Amino acid sequence: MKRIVAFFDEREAPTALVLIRLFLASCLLTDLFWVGIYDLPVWLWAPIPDGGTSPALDYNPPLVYQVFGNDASTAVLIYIGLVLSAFSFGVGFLTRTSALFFALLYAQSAMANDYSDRGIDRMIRIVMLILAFSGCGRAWSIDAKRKFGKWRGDGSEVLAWPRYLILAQLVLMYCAAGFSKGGTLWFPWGGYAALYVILQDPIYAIFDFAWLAHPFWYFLTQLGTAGTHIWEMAAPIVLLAAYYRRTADKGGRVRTLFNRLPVRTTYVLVGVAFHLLLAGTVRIGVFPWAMMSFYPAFYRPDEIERFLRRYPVFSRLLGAESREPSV
Amino acid sequence: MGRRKKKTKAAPKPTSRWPAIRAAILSFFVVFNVLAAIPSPGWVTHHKLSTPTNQAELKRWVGILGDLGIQTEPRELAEWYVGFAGSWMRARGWLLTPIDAWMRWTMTSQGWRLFGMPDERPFALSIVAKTPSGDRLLYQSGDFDHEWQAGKLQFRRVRALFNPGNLHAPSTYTAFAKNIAREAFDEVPEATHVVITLLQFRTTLPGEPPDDSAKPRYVKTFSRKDVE
Repeated sequence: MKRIVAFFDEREAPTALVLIRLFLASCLLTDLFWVGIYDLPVWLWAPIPDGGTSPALDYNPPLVYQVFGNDASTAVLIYIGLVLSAFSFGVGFLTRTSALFFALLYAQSAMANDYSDRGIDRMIRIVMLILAFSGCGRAWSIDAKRKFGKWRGDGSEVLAWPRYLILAQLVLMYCAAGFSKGGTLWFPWGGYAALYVILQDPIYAIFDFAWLAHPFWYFLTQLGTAGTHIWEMAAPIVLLAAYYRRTADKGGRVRTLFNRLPVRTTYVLVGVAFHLLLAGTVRIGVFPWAMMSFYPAFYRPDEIERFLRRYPVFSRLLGAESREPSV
Repeated sequence: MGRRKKKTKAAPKPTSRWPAIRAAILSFFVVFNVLAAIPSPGWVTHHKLSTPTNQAELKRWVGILGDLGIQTEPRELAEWYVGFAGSWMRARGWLLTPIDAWMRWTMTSQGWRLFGMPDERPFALSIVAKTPSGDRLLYQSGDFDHEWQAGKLQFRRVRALFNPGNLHAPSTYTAFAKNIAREAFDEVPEATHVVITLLQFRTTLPGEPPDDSAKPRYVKTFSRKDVE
């Protein structure tokens, strides 16, 4: 128990959490921008008699509709609330409150129309609720400027568990998604045809992928199917690699091998390639970008800072480097 | 993010009870979220298994089990699977009772069936305006020559309002169809009717005979009066 208490009490620089906050807020605002551009708040979150689409509001209106009225004006109010809280979260103004407010309001919008609420929206809510209890606003935020007089904060450390939980949630999601793929098309005995079939779906496909029926390209889709499935199921390997890094002094051949091989970075690079390919081939909106916005959680803040310092612009933003050698 | 020690490190030994309480709360959420994320079959019914995609799946699994020396038939396998899934879901529901209210209020359940069962019978949305001079196809999914309101109709949140699952169109479909029909009437003032259809195709794999047939389903026809 003492080890668990100590683990959840660890501290680190807020760098990874700040990056997640900035990336995630950008994704949310982009997604909400399109909701506004297409004039969708009423379609998505108003009752049917007011121009909406969801029957859920007719028989079970969520709390926000009970308070503000079950009509189109509440749908617009939800939209404004989401935009403002996503923006204030992004700029780090009342960061924790904004994150909590956004997550709870987002949940209300999901209750109003759960069809338009996808897996990525659930993932966003989970991460937002974690960030609502984190120090993601301790640097590069209005909160930091107000409290410490400097945009980059006071250099103090924050609790590390929010990053650990986001990392664990990423692993959990990928792994669960891998093991939930029950369709035979994801397996060798189904010919690894899943990716090919998905790319022939006219509602999802960005281009006409009929040409993938050519044996060479079809073979590549089969490789892609196998690779995606294995990559998802193998997600816990990232946690194992993290454990081995923390316990490098314990020795052992597997541990030594893991610590020599770039297991985590390989996993991350494959993930980035996978999400970029998805973004370029199927219409799944904010999903790949929001997922990648959580990726800073894969790395310790000192690793991120060391990477960023290679570029003068970031080096200047980060300020002077600590003299303590990183391990 | 300026001067600071770089490595994640343990904090000084906790002196209050708060770190222990925090660890207990976090452990509670971690354990129950992991349990919730364990893949589940969902609530499976015979009706759900009767769709062509699921029937094809059952046949494939019968073949695989046969190769492993387990002889069964699609109907028998379906019977077993419905029972198994029901038991699984009941046990899961009981196990997740302590976190159920939290997950419902925050809408943070942990089911991650992303493209778990690729649809070999995909749909395409078709929007046709009927005018005195003939039909005018405004939009059809996958038809790059007819892309009226494509940005909106392809947006992830809108797609979900009409894209059918295995069994039926979503409950948002009728209201969606009426809304988009209203916009189609604005686009084509001479239209007398607007027809919204979901065309169902069959994806064939390389080597199989191609199937270009499209079955119209969930057809909704609106007159101008219907949408006013």
